[in-house]
Amino acid sequence: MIFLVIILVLFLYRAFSILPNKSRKPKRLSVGKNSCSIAVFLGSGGHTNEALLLISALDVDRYGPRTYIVSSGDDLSVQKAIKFESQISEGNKSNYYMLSIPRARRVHQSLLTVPASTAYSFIYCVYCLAFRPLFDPNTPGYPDVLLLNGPGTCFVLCLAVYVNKFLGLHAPLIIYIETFARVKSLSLSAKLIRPLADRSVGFVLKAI
Amino acid sequence: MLAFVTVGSTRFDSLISAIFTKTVLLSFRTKGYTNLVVQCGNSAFEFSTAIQDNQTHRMERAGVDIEFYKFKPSLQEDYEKADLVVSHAGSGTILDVRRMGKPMIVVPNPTLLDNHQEELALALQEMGYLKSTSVENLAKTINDFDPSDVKPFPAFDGSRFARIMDEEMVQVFVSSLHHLNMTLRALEAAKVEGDPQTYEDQNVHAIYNEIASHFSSTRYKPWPIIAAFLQSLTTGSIGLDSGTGNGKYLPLPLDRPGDIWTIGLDRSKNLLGIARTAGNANIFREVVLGNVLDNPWRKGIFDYAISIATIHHLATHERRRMAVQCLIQSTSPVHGRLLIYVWAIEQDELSKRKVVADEEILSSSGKDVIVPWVLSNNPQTQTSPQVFNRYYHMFAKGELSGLVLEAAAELGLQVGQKPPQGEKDTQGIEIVQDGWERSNYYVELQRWQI
Repeated sequence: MIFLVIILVLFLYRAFSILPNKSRKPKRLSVGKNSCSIAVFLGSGGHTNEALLLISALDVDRYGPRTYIVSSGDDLSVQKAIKFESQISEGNKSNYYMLSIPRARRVHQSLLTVPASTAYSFIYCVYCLAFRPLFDPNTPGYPDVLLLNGPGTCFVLCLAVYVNKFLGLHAPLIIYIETFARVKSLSLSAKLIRPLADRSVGFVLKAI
Repeated sequence: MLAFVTVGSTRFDSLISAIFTKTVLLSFRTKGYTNLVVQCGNSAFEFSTAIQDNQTHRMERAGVDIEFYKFKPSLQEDYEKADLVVSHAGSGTILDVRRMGKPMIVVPNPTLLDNHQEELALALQEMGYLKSTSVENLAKTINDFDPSDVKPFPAFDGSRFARIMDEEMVQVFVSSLHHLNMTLRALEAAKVEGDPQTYEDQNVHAIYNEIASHFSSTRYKPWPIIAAFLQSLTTGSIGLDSGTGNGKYLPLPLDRPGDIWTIGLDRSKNLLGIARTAGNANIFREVVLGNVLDNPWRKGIFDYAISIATIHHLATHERRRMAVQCLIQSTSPVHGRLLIYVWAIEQDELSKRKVVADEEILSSSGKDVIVPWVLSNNPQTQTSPQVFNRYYHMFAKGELSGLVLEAAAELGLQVGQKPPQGEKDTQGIEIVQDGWERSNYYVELQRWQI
């Protein structure tokens, strides 16, 4: 019994210590690099377009390699990402990876099975973010930044990053960008992710 | 003319059904849209069972040639051909279409959960970027729609996002280059004592000389409003960059190099060394070592003058007013144009510097502060980082334009637009724009003479 209590206390202490603390200087682990690897979730439709538009504003030599994370079955986002990369690489060797993760909830999926599919999606994300880079040379390694702009599935990714943090593995900095489509209220995913993100940014219409 | 209807990756039964009604088709035809292309997605409507995936169907109804299909990998081509786009109010579609400059009518899909289409559509309609309507009113909206009422959509400006990313990632790069970084802490208040000139020498000039090389490496991107100002100058203009620092504005505008000529003035010899050659052995720019208050220029000699992030280093109100005055005097009384940037008390919520307390923002006289710069040493040698404390005056709202008014009064200049007629030899200055951008206040001025 005491043993369980100790475990629980240690667990809570660790969980508390990894929450973003705005007043403390965050620890950055990448040292000795001139570029920063970036992972971005393409959440289909407008989310994908906006995410790619944001990436297009970055210096591609500095922010690479780029990993595009898509929900399984979202072929349109895959095509958009490939087209985008071929545009920015201008014939040079491209520097990106695609990663497909299972959906937390498919369209029209019964609410009864959502917990199971979300759990599966979460476990797969943890595997991809925390463990696969350890042994699989065909992955870009641990990204330095994870860029999210919704919708719901990106919350699962956000939680998976916290597993990395909990285990003390290299965890990407989470930057959440509220979709431009929101003009008055925050979306549900924004409300969930904001407390967990290292930085969240709302882009008012004028700024876009 | 051709109209394109799209519902994106979702389905929107009522919109697609409405499109195929005679009333809506007739309103298309009356407005001259005799060709219609419809991307109907998975919507259920009269002909939805007739179409297969990857197939395009053609038909004629109410005098309109209609082409319809479910999905295409890219709608780009259809957008390009269209003279009008009617669509659901998805943000992706709106961005795509409006960035191509096509006029647009949107119908928010009321059946979506957690619906924010309506919110977005109404906000954009209010700004004049598109027309929002409902399925019921679609025919009437098409009849009343005049594409020339629609305002052009602003182009995507990614610089703010890029800056946020650079800021977040600066640690990553900096740690590898042993660069200086700014500490995250609240700013200390400064008290200016003794001779302001001596104070500036110790708390501004000496420091910039020390940190010049690193300072320069953190200041590489020109701010958009300044770039736009320099871009707007006519070819052949000659101007002054007072407090040029590392000279990042001297080569602008980038797309017409050499069309205008900016001469840089600064108090830091080390920064000028960087400004002069910009690290390129083949480039030599005109730079002059001097104090912004010395006013070594013949009056009215320049066509334009800019002073970016400089005046806030002067330690008293009088000296700051003098600096504005010197800057105005150096430009032509007939057509001189000026742009001044100073650091604001109201800091961007994204700025690395901590915002001062709210009540201080309300003060009208600004605030004197000390801003630490930490020059990280090589981590291998384990020496403690050097800290350089620079003096800054953070401007309050309205303080910069106040300085301009005072300086103008002292120079005997009228403030305001050039009147159509008036007494001969009247001189004046107009405040063209006055605003806040990214933790800075700026003011653009235009001199005039009758």
